[in-house]
Parts: sequence; C-alpha cells; structure tokens
Amino acid sequence: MNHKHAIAAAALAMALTTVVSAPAEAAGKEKCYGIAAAGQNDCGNLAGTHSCAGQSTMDKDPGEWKLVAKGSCESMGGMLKAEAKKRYEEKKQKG
Amino acid sequence: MSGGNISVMDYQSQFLNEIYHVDSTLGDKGLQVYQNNLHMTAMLSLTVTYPVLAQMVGEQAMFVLSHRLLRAELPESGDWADWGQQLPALIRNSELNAEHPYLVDIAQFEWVFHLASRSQFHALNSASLQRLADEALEQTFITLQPSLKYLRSSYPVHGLWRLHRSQTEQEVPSRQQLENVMNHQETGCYVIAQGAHNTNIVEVYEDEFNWLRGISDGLSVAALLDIFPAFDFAAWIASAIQRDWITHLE
Repeated sequence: MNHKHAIAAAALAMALTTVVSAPAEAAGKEKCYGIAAAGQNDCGNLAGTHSCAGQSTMDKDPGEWKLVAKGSCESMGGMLKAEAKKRYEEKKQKG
Repeated sequence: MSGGNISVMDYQSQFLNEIYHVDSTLGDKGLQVYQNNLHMTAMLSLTVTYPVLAQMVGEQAMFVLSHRLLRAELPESGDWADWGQQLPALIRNSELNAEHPYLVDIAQFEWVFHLASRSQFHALNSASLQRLADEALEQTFITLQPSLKYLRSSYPVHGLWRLHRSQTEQEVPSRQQLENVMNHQETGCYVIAQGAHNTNIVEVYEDEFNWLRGISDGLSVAALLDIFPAFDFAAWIASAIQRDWITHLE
C-alpha cells in the first residue's frame, strides 16, 4: 500500500466513523433553549430572525438553543422546546 | 381565431415591453401605474434577496439600484427570486463603490447565500465512500453539494452579514458594533452550502479553500493528495460529512 492509499484508508475510516456516529449522537441529545452564549447557538431561533448557527447576539437568549445530552437541559438552567415556545408566545402576546 | 390570438399576443408583448422599458417617455399615466408597480415590486424583491445590503444602503438607494438593475437585467422566469444576479456588478460600476467598496462583496455574499438557500439538499450516499478503499484513486472523485459555493473577500463580510441579520429590519447596528466587526480578523475565505436543515456559512482557511477549489475543478483524490500533500484529508472528510458538503464519491 503506498502513501496515498494509506491516507485514503485513514480518510475512509474517519468518514465511516462520522457517518455511523452522527445519528446515534443526535439520538442521545436534545435541543436546550436559553443556555447558549452569544454567537454559540445551534441553527435557527424561535423568532425566525436567523437560521444559522452562531448568530445569536445575546447570552442565554430564551429563543436560542444548543444541542445537549438528553436529560441534562433543565439541570443547566435551560428549557426544552415546548416550554421555550410557550414562553416565547406569551412574551410575544404581551408585546 | 388564430389571427385574433396573435394580435392579442402581439399587444400583450408590446404592452409588457412598454412596462419594462423603464425610461419610456410616452408619458401615459395608465402605463406609469404599471411601471411604478413594477419598480416597487422590483425594489421589494431585491430587498428580500439582499436584506443586509438593503439595511446598509437604505430604502432610497435600493429603489435607485433596482431601477438601474431593471435596465440591465429583466426578470425572465416569472419568479422574482430569480432576479438580481447582476446587482454586485452594477454596484461595482456605481458611485457607491468608491466610498463603500465592501458593498460589492456583501452583495456577492448575499446572492450566493440566496441561491444556496433555494437549492435542493442531497443526502450523502455513504456506500460510495467505499471508493476510498479502491486501488484506483486516480479515478475517484469527490462530489460536493450542488449548492456549495466558495468565495473570497478582503472585508469581514461574514461578521457584517451576521451583525445585520441579527437586527430587525428597522434596527441599525451601532457604530461600536460595526467597528468591532471591522476590526475582527476573518480568514477571507467562505463556503456557503445548503445543509439538511439550514443554509450554512463556514469560514475556512486558505488550504481548505484551495482543496475545495481542486475538487470543484474536477481533480481526482490522487491528484488532490499530490497537489496538497500536507492537507489532512482524513480530518477534512469527517468534517465535510458533518457539514453536509459531500453527496457522494464516484
């Protein structure tokens, strides 16, 4: 096996590990609202004002979320989606 | 019957031509209503496609830009979202460029993001990864998401884009916020692609940018490894899969 094939084999191993581990990892995680530091959120927010990771501008914004290990959200001071959405709607109604 | 149809079609075609001919001097008030409607629709459409640029230059400048753009590029598909590709070039040749040279890059960035966000996402064919185990790496090619585009800028366009997208339409970033972004060093290389859930923007370094360009230029895995011997292919492919950049190997 030459050098290039060795690199390709290592790449294949890494790629397969990524493909296999990604869904399992996601299955053991949950979206946790209100814990992300500014600029460290994952994906879009509840307000729909952005759709990209890293776009939150406020620490612990209740509309922003991060993926955390399942069951750990509330102990970190965060809220699961149902509660976050309820609070967001209440806040929106109050204006 | 067919003669009548042709006549109506000719009339419609001429009428549309008059509406789109934005400098028409006919002075017909009825026609002006249609033209004004066209201008407003064009401006609103451009503001949707280029929201950051619109925040930066304001409504009046957007109106002027959309008016000029209509002269250079007429909407063709019937979908206003397809219209506006030539705006970056138009800004480059406008008086705005001398004082605000970063606007061209912002517009280019937004157009690429706009295109990617309207593109279809293709899931990874993981079975095709086995091609890396083949002997013939010269015949093995990486296929990227069709929506994936990369671009360069000497301005912190990602920071400016994020700052403006985090504001509401009416809010304007403070001078301090803008200074913070302008003073923040970015790599100057950006990759924008449609992911499984969102359109993603990733800032990359020069080596990864060149590697991606090599893939887009049709280089085989063997050729890529020859040209970029120090590039960590194994680490890259794992991160590229996580970022939804690869659709398959062939």
